[in-house]
Amino acid sequence: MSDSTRADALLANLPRNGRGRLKVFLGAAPGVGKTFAMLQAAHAQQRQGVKVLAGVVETHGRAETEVLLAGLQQQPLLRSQYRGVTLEEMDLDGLLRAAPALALVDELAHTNAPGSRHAKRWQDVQELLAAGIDVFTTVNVQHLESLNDKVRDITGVQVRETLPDWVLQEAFELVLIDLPPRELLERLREGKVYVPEQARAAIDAFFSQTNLTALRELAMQTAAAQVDADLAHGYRQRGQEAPALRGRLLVGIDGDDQAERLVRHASRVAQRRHLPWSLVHVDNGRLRDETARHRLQAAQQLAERLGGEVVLLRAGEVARTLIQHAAERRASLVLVGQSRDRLRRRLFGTGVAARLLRESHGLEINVLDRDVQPPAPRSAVRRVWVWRHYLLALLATVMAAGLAWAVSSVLALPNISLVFLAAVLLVAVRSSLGPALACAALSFLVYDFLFIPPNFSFSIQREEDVLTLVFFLLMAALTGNLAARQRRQLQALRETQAQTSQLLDLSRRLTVATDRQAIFKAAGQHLGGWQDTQVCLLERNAEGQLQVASGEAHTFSDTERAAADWAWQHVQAAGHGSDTLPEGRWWWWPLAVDEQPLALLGVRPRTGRPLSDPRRRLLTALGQPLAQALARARLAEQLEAARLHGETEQLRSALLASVSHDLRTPLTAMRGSIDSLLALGDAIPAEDRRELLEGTRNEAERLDRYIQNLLDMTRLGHGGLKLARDWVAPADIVGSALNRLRVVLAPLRVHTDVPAELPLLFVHAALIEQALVNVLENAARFSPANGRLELQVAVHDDQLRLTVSDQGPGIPVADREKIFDMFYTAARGDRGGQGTGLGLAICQGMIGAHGGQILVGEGIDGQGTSITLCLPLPPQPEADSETP
Amino acid sequence: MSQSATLLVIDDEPQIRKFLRISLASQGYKVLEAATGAEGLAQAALGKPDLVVLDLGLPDMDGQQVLRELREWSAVPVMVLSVRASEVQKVDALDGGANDYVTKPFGIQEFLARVRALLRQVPQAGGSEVAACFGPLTVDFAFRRVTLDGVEVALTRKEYALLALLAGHPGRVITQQQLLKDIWGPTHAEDTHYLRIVVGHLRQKLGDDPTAPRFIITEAGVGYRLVAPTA
Repeated sequence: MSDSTRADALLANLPRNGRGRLKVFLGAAPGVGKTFAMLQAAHAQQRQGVKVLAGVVETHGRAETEVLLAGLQQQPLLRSQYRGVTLEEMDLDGLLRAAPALALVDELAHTNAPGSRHAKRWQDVQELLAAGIDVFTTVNVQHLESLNDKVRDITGVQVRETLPDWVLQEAFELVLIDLPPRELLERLREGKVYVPEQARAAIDAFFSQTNLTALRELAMQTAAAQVDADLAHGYRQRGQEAPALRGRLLVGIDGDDQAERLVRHASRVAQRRHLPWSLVHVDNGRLRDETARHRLQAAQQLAERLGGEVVLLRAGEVARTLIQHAAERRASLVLVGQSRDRLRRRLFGTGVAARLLRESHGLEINVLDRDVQPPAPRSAVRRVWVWRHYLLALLATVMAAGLAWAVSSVLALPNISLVFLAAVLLVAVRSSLGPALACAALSFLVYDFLFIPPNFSFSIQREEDVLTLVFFLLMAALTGNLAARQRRQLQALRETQAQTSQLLDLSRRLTVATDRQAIFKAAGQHLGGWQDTQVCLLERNAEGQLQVASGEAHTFSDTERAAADWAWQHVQAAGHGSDTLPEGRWWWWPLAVDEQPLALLGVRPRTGRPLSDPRRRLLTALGQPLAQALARARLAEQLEAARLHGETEQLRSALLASVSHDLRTPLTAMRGSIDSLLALGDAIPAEDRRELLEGTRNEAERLDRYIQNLLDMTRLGHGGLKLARDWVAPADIVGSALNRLRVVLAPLRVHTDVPAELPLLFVHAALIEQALVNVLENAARFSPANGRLELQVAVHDDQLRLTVSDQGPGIPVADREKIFDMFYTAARGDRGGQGTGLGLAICQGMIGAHGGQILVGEGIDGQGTSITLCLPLPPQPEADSETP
Repeated sequence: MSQSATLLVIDDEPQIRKFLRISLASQGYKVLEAATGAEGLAQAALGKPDLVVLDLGLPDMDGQQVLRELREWSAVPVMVLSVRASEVQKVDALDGGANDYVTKPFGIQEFLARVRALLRQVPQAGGSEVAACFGPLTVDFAFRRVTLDGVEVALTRKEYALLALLAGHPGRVITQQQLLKDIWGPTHAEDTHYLRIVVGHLRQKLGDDPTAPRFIITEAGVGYRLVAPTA
């Protein structure tokens, strides 16, 4: 017993996220007293103080039941009109609003009236449970999905209103209401059981002693299975060995009429033996007609409802593929049906079952007997006889005959048959097996009539001609069969290929799409081109409302919108053709990853006909990559936002660190100097006193410059840098900068090279001056004592270049690009090497705002640093035309 | 140049008022103080100062408004205290009637020099002076002659007009617009490039290094100033 299994079992017992608990009162037949028992239990709860609300309770006119019901609070039923008839249904919204602790819902398998939110009452109950409301309900055993065919076998009545088994299995408690059949019959006679007059005859057949006994046994079995499951669950909780989940059950189905029966049987067996099970269908290209496909589809849906997995494989050999798959999935039991063709099976042992028995090793093979069923009363999809094809067969035969006759003088008798063979082949390739065989038969007759002596009669004279004819027919049939099969396989392949290429195409488009908008656009483009359907994608906007993300703007009716909302909320398909709110024209399919809906795919068939299953399958298949792409886009968005946030945070903390250090440094010097003067004033000689005072002043100026840098930086960042450009003489800027740094530059040997005639700049003077001040200060800070500092102004092409060179330690080549990065400089602050602090980053901002650039290079005589501010020169204005 | 002139300092910062008082008093000026615009206007009316030092960032009224109201009834010279990088503010103040400005934080020497320059103008609004001396440079208004170290300098008409204007208000800033309007005419108030070119030529002729000018100082974005005479 592994810890995780035990943990799962324990967890399963915890109240599941506030989900309500379902208690089911199960009975074998109507009239055993389920409703009565339910009401009694409800009263017991009410006495304990639980708020009970009766959603819908059918009393069927029984007095005792009505008395019990009167003592409970009832939620009024919802009335609706449908085709002139007033229908009453449970008021689901009313119940949800009232939010009782316990709700009573009778007849769990009931089908709701058209126009209700859900097609079935059990789906309403699921919503109640999801909202945290406990529910008591009643069910007759014949309504269970997996028992449906058994009940039919017993009673001869096919029950239409079925309930998926998992609903019952999820129930918290199952109460079996049992009544011996004799007593039930007595009640019937006394008139205590509700019997609608119209169904009198059928009910009489239903309520026979044997029937009731059998049903009673079924009900007991169901309850026993539930108890068994609970017991195993209990053992698991205690950490003891549960019935080991060994192996898996595979049920292999075809598109024949046994499919659903096999599935139901498989689910029962799997449940009894506690095995997980899968439905496996091997498509060998044979399955082509509508009926078979419908059956297959229905079987698949049934399997999913009953809790099985659906596996579709494509291969040529059914038996071998099943064996392989069984080995892969470590199946222990394979269930198949008997082959159709009994004769062939017996003679050749080529049926799937026989093959399995022969070729499998270590597998348990169960073969289910064929069941002669009454024809399924579903809306028969009759095989469409394509008259065209039979006409083609006829035509081909006639043409072949003509050709053969024309050629008969040249070719020998046996070879003429080849012409007819060609005709058969042609027909087989162009149409299907039926017309091909017809052509073969017809050709046979014509061949006999025209060419086998005696000519122009159907009799055969020579014995060898009989052989010829027989073999001709054989060949014709064989080739026809083969050709038709090839054609079918080709068609199947084509459909697969079309589907795959659609998927590939969409995937390709989606890979290129970088954000959500692009994805929606790509999807819309791809899906918009379909002829038979209209597709649109919905997503939730900021207000939480669903809006169209791609496709044309559609208007939706209230039902359709409600269906869309429901689909989004419950992450399940809804709308047209589904179980929920099927009134609208649109079918909604939620695209979700990890139960998180990202978008809704809406499909509406353009023609009146409902959405075909291949189309639905294709859409759900396409939904996958779309959902993944959307999830990817969302992650990318989140990542980007996080990155930006991270960057901003990083910058902010770097700046704060820099600021607090760089502001404190001059203040420390100032404070120190002044404190010293105050405290030790007289002890300090006069010139030292003067030095301290001067130092204080210089530090104050430095602080001022630093604060100016900070101010500029905030303006740069917030886009508050408005350039007030004006005509400026470069020499003025240089002079002003040098003047401001007079004290700083004093200990250095400063050389300026400023030509007399310089063009004017059209810039914001204060900013350029600030940039130059920063560069000069930076150079001065790292220059050696009495070092040389050069300032050069020159015109270079259409730029004005101001170059400051120093003899300092220089900036390593690798760092030369980085010194203008605010992260780099700010992080290292003033205490870093040359080229740190905010100054240079601000230079970049100022010069950049003017459309200029900064170059970094080697300083004086190859050592140190030179920084060049390049500013674009505007076309020079005209000097005034008047006399100077 | 009466050293016992009365100065009114209007600034809300007590520390600034203190150091100004001390500095100015040490030069022999009498100092009145006001902390708000309203108080300042009242003191100006009562104390009749010879110069008003006005801080633009006052708590109760905008400095410009104080200036406006003051100018309604007084022509007393006003020195404005402003912060850097608000040239627009400086120009507005000068246009609004202020005579000069200093940028905070300022050096006391510069401040005192400008105060002196402003006080010198009080008797006349300028123009009655015959000649002005600025070290080696002499400007003779009567004869319209400029000499540098005794050597006459040949100036064009506009160059002379510019120099004369600046020399007429030594030590004080003259705004660009003012110069352009006076020399080129009102329609040329935005053609700063004219000014730059003329100043450049003027500096050249006066032998002034543009990066370290002795005479004509550029006040970026505001105007020009002729260095106060050392006499």
